[in-house]
Amino acid sequence: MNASPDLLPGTLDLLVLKILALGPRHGYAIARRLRQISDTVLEVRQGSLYPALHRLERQGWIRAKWQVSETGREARFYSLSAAGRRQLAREAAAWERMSEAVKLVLAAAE
Amino acid sequence: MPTRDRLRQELQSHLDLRIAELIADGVDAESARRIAAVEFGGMAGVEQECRDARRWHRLADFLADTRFALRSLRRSPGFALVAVLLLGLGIGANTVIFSLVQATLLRPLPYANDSRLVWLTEVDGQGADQSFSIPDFRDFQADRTVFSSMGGYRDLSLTITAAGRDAQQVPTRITMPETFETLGVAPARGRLFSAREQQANGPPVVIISDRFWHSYFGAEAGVVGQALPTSRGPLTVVGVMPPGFVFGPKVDLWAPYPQYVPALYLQDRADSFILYGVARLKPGVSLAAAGNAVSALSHNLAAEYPKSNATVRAKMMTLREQLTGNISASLWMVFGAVNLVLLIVCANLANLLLVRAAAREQEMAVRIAIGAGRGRIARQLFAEGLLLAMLGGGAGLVCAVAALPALTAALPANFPVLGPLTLNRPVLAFSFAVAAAAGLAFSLIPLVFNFREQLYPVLKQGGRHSSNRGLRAHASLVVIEVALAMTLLAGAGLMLRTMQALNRVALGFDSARLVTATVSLSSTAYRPVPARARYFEQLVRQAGALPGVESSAVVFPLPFTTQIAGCFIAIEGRVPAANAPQTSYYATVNATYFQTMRIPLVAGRAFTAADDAMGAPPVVVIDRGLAEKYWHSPAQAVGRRMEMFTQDFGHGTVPPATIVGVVGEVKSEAADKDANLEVYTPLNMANGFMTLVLRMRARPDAEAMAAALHTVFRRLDPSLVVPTPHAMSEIVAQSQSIRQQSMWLLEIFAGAALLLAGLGIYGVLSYMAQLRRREFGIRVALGAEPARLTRGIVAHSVKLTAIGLAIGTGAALVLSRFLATLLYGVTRFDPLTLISVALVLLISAIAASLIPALRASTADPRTALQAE
Repeated sequence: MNASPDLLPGTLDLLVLKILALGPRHGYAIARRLRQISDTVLEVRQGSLYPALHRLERQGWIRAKWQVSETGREARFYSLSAAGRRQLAREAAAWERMSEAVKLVLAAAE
Repeated sequence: MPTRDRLRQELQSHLDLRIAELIADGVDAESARRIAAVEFGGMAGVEQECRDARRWHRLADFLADTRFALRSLRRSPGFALVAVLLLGLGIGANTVIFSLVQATLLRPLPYANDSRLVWLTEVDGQGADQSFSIPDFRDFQADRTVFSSMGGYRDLSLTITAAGRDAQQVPTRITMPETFETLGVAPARGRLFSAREQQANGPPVVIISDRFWHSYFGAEAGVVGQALPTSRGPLTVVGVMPPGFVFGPKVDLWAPYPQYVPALYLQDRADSFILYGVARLKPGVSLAAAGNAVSALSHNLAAEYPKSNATVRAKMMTLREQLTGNISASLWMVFGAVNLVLLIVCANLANLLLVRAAAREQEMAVRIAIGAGRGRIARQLFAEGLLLAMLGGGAGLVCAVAALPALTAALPANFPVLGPLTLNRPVLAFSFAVAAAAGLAFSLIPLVFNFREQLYPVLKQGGRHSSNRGLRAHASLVVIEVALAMTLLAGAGLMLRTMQALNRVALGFDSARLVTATVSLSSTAYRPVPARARYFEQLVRQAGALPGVESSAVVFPLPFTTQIAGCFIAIEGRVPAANAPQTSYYATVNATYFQTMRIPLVAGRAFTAADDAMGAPPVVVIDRGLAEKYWHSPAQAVGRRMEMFTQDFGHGTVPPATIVGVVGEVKSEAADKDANLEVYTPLNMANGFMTLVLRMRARPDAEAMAAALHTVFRRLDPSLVVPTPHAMSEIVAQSQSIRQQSMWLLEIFAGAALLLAGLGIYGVLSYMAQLRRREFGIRVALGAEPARLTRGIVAHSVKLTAIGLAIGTGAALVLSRFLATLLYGVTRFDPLTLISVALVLLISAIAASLIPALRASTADPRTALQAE
């Protein structure tokens, strides 16, 4: 088990939206993908993933549909909506600025 | 929304996939299940959280938002205090005025289905109200085409003569049969009049009001059947009306009309005009249809009885309009004014909220960065605005509760209020609606501001928001405030000039230092006219001998009271046209009247003591208006002869009299009404009800005067009620009291508006100057003159004010048509008023902008640049 940093709730939204931008997935696949592409640094507690997914769905940024998955069973697939795509762009840009600023501060403190 | 099963299916499938993965990695089934379960966390908990995430959880969110709003307000106590205070005053004033409007214009009358009740009277050829003659009334009552029932009434005073108590005059309304049934009311105790009691020789009975039951009978339970002693004999109480029942101004007693009307009036269609009608429209009949029917009936009567009814027409209006018509314009004006003040308060608060929103930008940005949704933030800002509005509304209710008793006490006595001013349901609902509307407005402002700007700047150069959009919002609010204040001030200015014009009107007599006292000769001893004349002659002499009295006289009726006496006249040598009977008003006076009232003599002579004596040759004095109507000049009227026909002298006419003099016109009803044509008769035609008039040498000491008069009255005849003296100037002022009061209120609101607008301008300019402090600092450092900066800021303020004045003037010109009925001596477009008011506002705006302008330009450039 890695000592993974706790994800801030706002950041979780950002990451979910980004992953879905690459194509529709169901919940388990999202968690797995996150683990994969972050080089296992980021691990989302599964208990917080699904509430986040449902919340994003209610906010209109992702859409859900029951479909047959790769295992042959039915699963609830989430996909990014147009509004979600815009929101992703906004949040990503903000995150960029924030991280730049933090980097500056850290560099200056030395 | 997925059903419970679907949700569980989704979560379960996640678990299954995880288990499958673990098994694929080589874990045994049992351990895989355990590990997956631990990793997932409690299934039930996750399920609940998902469901919560979907549902809005409105209540929990709302409470959380409210708590957040409270905390945020507590962090800026200065702002919260100012906001709640301003709102409280604005909403409180609005609530108080609305309660007055509700109690007068909107509250239902205490009768069944009151919107279907109408009031009727008859008017003469000139449109003057003369009330119904009994035969005419009966004809209307019998006609059932548009009215399901009709009643009638007349007002008089009964003297209550209880042993051991002071005699008191109680306003009484005598009612025709069917009146109470028309109103659709029932007594709280006892019963209404029976058929037997409503006949001329029926048993003497009376119905009393709830108030009288408490004040006179001490609310004793067995009041029905008790006797009420009056100067006409004892009356048996047959019923008590419920509390809150009102029929007649300050009326406490109701008695059957037929018992009070002299027999000769019952048949007289021509000269005995003495009752008003109240009727109920049949279901489905419109007011217009009823008006037509009434008109048609008048025409029929005119055709059938040309001698008496040729020019008589019936007039009809809703009962509500009759009761409140002459004050509704004033009331709505005051209501409009207080709403304008509230709008200015809201504009000021909007400015404050914008400033606050700008200051909290960083707080908002951080919150969004750590994950709060935009919707959530919006809801929280909304909650703040609502909380502020509710606190303001609460403060407003406190103000209203405090102010209502004061307003009730300040109302003029003749104000037709249909009940006490209270915070009843409609008033509370209105107050709540106003607060909610304000809350909505406030919440929208920071929302609009925050979500049009970027929400995510974390580190900003300068630390203060200075976007053009924000400044424009502030500027627009200032313009709105100035426009509102201009509208209000224009209205107040017009009312002020109206009152000034009214006060300047020449009354025709000198009202300074005049004391009046009205005597009612209510015992049978005074039925013969010589007895009355003798009483008044003695009264004039004895009262005139009191210390401090310059001269004394008697008159009926006293100008500016509700008493009025009309008559028909016939000028010798002039045959009146068939359809235009000659009417006039008349007064009975003694010889010293004109001199006491300082009414100028224009031609001929005034009355002398010889004219007042019984049996003297009949003479009259007329006023200039009458003289100029029938002769070319007043001098020509002297020596002519004329006749008078009045209802108070029974059926017969007064013998033809010689005109011995002409006096100047006297305003007899109101300053803004033309003077009535007047015929004066001497004391040998004395009424049973006349007013003593005393001119004092110096300002009278009210108590000493009252005491001295009291002695004179008691000495002359202890069985009569001793009247209360009143100053004539007060009586004259009372006739304008409603206008005067509304003017005072309007002035207060206009003053408040000016103050608030000034504060608003000051606040906004200070803020804007502070935002540009850095810019100013740089400019000064680069060599700009501070004076130019000051001028620039003041010029900006003048520009905003000018735009506001233009809009406000336009609004004032449009809205002033609602004031038109209240104005006197000034048109509603009066340029003098508009210009002066605009100047006042402009000067205030400049004054309000001077301090921030001076402060901005004298700021030390170094400190300005450093303060980052």
